[in-house]
Amino acid sequence: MAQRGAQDPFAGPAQATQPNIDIQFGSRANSSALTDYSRSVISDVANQAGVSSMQISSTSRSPEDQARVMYENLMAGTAPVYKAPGQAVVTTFKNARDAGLSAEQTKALMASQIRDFIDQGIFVSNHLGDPNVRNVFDVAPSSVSNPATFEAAARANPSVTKFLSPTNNDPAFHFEIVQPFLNFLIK
Amino acid sequence: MRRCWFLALCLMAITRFSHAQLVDQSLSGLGKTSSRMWIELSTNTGHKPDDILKIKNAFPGYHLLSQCTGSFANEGYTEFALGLINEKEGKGVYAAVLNDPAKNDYRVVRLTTFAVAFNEKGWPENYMEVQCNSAMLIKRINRNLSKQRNEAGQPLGSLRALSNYDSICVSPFDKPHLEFVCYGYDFQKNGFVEIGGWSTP
Repeated sequence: MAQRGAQDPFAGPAQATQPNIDIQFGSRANSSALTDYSRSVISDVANQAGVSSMQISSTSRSPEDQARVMYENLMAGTAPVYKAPGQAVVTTFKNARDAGLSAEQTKALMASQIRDFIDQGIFVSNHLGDPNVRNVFDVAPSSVSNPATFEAAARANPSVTKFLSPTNNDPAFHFEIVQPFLNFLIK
Repeated sequence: MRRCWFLALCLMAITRFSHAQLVDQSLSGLGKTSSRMWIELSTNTGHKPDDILKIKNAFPGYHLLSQCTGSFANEGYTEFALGLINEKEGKGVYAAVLNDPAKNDYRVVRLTTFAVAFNEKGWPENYMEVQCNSAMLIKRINRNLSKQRNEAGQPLGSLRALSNYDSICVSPFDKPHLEFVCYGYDFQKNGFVEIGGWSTP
């Protein structure tokens, strides 16, 4: 299921062998959250599979974005049951609200806790993370001309840290790409 | 305004403290967490340590990271749901331990087994958790889910209670886009079946 990248952590951004892959972004995806390195990796995967275009349906969310989404759902009374880490953030929301803190202060506290969790290696959402450290995004399977070959190429690519697909019960082609150390420093 | 930020700082301190309430599932904490969980299971249920040891021995090499109790298939009996990880083999299992009143014994039923990878910080790539939920809670969660949509407007999920017995909800490693998947005991099939699940925004 998960693949561990054998990449050189000090390597610079990889260069796409053919830069002519047409990458579109869906309404929930933020094009700036796809790093140059990930763009080159996904282009390599597409080239290997003979795929010329794809749509990225979702990109990674910052702790602030995650806090905002959770805050809005909690205020609307429509927050679902989370696992323990998510429930801890919900408790922070309740404590902050009971203490009379403003919306901005509450969201800042929630984001701070989400960030603390990430620092420990715990993720409240699997779309959470700093794209310059671990770039997470989904590719819509319907946007890829040859899904089976694309999946095989993604699984075989050592720069893809984690890959999930409909065969893993994930509705999308889910990519997680740990960014090269040097790339992180340049940013 | 100054008072508000003081309160925020206090809450931040409490928040950091409350991290300790999470179960340490990191590679370095697996052993301690597991020992504590097995002891809790024994003390919370009043089962004899020998019985608990017998259940533990059914999972050699596995660490117990999450557990809860309910009545899944035998009314009036205390049964367990367990979440275990074997870090050396990179495997995980969610299981139920059912009573076998006829034999005055236990029966271990594996709900799901899966691969477990650890991230760069030494934590499993998913937080392991089991919940033992009553039929009424399953119905309440389902009612709430019917009102909830993700940012793309899709429903977060649905659940159905098969009976008035308790159900087991687990945080799935093989379906990481879902927060929980739930299982209920199907008396016609004489085994557990999936009764739904949900994602979180």
